[in-house]
Amino acid sequence: MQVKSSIIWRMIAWFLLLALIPLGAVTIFVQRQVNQTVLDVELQAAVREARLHASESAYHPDAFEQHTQIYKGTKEVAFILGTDGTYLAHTDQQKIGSLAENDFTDEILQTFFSAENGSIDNTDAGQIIGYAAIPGQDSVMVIVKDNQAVQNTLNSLSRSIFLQLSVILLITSIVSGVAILAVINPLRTLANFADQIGSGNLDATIDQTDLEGEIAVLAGSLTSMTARLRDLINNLESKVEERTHDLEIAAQELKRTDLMKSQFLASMSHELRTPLNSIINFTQLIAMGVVGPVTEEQVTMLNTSLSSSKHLLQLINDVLDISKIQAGKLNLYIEEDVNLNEEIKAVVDMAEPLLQKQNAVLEQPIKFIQDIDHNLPLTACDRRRIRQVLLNLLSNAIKFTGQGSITLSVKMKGEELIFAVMDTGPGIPQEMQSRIFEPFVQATDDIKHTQGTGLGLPISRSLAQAHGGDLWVESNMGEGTTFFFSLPFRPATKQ
Amino acid sequence: MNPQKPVLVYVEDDENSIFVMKMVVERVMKLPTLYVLQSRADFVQQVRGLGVVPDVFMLDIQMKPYDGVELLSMLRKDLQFKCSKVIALTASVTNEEVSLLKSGGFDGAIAKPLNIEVFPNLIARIINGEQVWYIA
Repeated sequence: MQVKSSIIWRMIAWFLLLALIPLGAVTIFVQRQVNQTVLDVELQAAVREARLHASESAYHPDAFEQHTQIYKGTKEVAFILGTDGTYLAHTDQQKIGSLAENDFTDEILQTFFSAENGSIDNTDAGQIIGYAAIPGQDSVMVIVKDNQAVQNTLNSLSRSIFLQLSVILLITSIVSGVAILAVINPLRTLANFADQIGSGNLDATIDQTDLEGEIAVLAGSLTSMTARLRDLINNLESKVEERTHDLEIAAQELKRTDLMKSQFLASMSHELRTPLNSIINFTQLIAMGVVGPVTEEQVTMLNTSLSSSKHLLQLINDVLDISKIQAGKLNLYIEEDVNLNEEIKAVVDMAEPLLQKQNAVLEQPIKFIQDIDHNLPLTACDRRRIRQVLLNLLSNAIKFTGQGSITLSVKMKGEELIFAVMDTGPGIPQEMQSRIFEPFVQATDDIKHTQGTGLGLPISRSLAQAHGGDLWVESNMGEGTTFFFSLPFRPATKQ
Repeated sequence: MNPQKPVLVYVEDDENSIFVMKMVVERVMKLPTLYVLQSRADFVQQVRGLGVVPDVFMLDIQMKPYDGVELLSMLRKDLQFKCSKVIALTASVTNEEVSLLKSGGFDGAIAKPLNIEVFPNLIARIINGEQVWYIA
């Protein structure tokens, strides 16, 4: 709406500006011309009067008194000036005999005697002066006419002209305004229509009966364009509705699938583990000789069966973990004030039997070195998951190290606890160092080392990251591998 | 209390698990018997019917119609068994579950599959009043 109003006002403003400039110029020009012409006429009249009175005064000594009676009671003055600069005669009797230099400048007084006759424009003093030498006498007849009255008349005339022109301009403006409105109104109707369309009202209509010419064409085009737009949008809306419906179905399907997946995971967790638990415990009982004597060979086979079952159980647990991680459903159970020294000890206790088992078949046993700060600060963490990560790193190191040593180092560094498990194993090729963190990838295809599930490291890294830390590897072929695990130190919130 | 021959009660719906536990209790721990009860509304009556106050209740967690947590609350309503220890036996030990078991009033939890070698010692510690959370 603001735009439409401003068009009208701008057009009127331009019109007024364009009309006022020439009118003003013409007014000023005419006023000046009239002023000059009137002045010239006045000056000539003054000379004529002076010459008339001068010639009469030359022949009739009383002529001055008689003929200058007409100036009495007016602001106009007549006098005869002698060469000595005194008034010889004057319409104001009191001035006779006094010096004219009291009333006129020297320049003017000298002019009176410089020519036979002439006129002086003394408008500054409100005077028009005509003078003429009195024939045969050393004196000059001077008529001083009041220019102020003429100026006043002229000013009044100017005002009258200005007023009349203003009235004409006003009338012209009104007429022009009406003319402009006649053009603008259809434009405004059109603009309103366009504005409604612009604000989304595609059902807007325009009354085309009063519209003519280009405006009518424009209105027609806008109407048909709106109709096409309406069709397009309706079509689009039905398509969007259709797609939304499809999406809703897909989302429901996804929700159902997700629920099924969760149920499957829960089922895996319970239904798969329950029989496996029985297998493990039955095998263990038989191997222990609880149900009757078993030979050494049978014990070996039963233990192999036991370890395979445990491996399978671990695989199930790992698959469950990785599924939870990938579904973003792995929740940590954070406990405050966890004593990491105790947790590390528990993990070492679990790892040492594995190392002993490994060492039993080696000529040179692998040394296990612990470089752990004794007073690690109490921190908030999920202790079971921290144990899981650390046990994974230690059991990997034991599994892949054939000679030398394994070092577990735990240090407080800045605001982090840094766990490092360093081995003197074969090392991990550069190209595998990032791949080992992908599910089901192992650094070696060596059959001897395929005991793992290939999920330990990705799970461990996810667990470290879920704690706000990280897990990474540094390794040189033939020298060994170090896995680092950082855990942000989080002191208890309550004191 | 029956310090020499502690009385153990096991509530479980999986036959194989019951069999394993019987073997462990009777053959490995050499206790006279393992009382096996069922998850039913009359659970407390079943216990009373034993004629002896059990030292340790071992409750499976995932059972129907009543899970271990519900059975524990039935048991705790009867002051006769306030000195009995109650532990949970569970195959899926998530942190949330452990937290639930701790706040639910269990005296401990033992993960399945049983580590038969350490199990007798765990039970002894529980009978001695120690809380045992053997879950990882």
